[in-house]
Amino acid sequence: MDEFLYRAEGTLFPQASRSHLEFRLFLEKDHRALEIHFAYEPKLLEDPGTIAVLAAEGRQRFGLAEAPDPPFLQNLLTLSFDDAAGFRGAAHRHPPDQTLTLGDESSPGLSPGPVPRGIFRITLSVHAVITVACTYRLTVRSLGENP
Amino acid sequence: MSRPLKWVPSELHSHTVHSDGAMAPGTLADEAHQAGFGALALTDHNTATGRPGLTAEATGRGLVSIPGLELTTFFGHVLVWGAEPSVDWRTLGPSDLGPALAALGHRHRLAIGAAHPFRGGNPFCTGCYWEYDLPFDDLDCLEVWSGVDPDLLVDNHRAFALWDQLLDQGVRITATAGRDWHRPDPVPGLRSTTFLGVDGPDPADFVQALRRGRAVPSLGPLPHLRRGDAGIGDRWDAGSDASLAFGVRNSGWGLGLGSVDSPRVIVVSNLGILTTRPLGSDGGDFEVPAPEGLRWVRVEVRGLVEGRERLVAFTNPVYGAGG
Repeated sequence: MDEFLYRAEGTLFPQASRSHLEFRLFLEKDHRALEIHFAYEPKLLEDPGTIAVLAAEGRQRFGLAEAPDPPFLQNLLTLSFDDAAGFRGAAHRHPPDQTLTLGDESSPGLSPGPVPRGIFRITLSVHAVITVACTYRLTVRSLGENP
Repeated sequence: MSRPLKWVPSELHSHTVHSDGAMAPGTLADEAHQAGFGALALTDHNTATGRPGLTAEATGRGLVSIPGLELTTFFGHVLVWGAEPSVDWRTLGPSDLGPALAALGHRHRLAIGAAHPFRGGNPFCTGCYWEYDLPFDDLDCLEVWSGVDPDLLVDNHRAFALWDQLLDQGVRITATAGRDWHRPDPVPGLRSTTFLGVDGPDPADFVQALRRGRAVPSLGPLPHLRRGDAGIGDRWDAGSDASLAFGVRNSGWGLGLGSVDSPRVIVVSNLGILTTRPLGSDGGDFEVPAPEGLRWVRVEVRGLVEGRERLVAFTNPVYGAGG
């Protein structure tokens, strides 16, 4: 039996910033809980030369005063979920490797309760990709089906 | 004469581990209680799952828990107080926020504001810069003070200048402070708050105070202002000939006037500065005639704090009948 209900990976580029990717999967059964693993890399941009260019562009775009460049800049991708009954919450946080649970003991940011049969929607929100490219991996597995 | 309001130091912008904050709801409630806040809005990014825990922890410490959420979009961060808004932030483009807010069935029970409108966006703070093209009349609030020690930040000076411009255009929008609280305070120091003038203890009373402009952002001192029956956030009656009564008190919260060098109270209006008066360490009360052509008027407290000239507190305006 396949361990995963769903598995995807891909590459995002800076042009994908400020967009959403949506994954719609059909759950054939009710699930007591789902575990979603999400990882992306790189998280940080630490090259001082590239930071200097991006920070200068940013300061100009937003009319900001001259300031020392930040020591790093970062990509930010977040997930949110909708099941067949509605919105199940968002995991708006920075760690680039997250294991989230959606069930009676949901992870913070996600509402508790089982996940019903039907279309389960995962939205990957690309807040910012500032590195040359950013790869992501996404898997979903069941922690138990409900009869 | 309306019944006197109670001015409660409130934190309007905070986060927990339910989004990208470092604190559990209980820790945030504890920190807020220790800091002396009387009300706290948890405004996690795009989720309200922290609210039940926060409310239980806050109520146990005598804090009012104001429902809240920060719609954290690509084109601006939108603070919503009062209830979870039925707006799907993932569908919003720069022109879509106005129609989405107008379609809310419970709009009158919400206060909605632009958070830190001039904080740099990508690549510094994703979506933080305000890019929505809706008229500011569609909002209730503008976070002109962001951060713990807000008068140090140029972003906030720009937000404050925008607020002045909007007031002169006849837009009524409530200026607020929010520390955008993500982690425990490393050291005690200057702390911003928004005093909200409430006539009841319910979270809904705090939301209505925001909608009505009964708000005083401050580092501690509590300025007041009236024209006749009209207090902060109110409109005075057409043809009112009452003078402006104003002053400042120590609130017992945060910075006291005794810690401000050369404290003074300034009456600012659409006609410019009307008067400046020095303050004692206990504050003071004053009265000046209201000039012709007055459309809005507010009180500011300024002085030297930790060696730097600062805006220490300011009221939202009292508005003219047509202002």
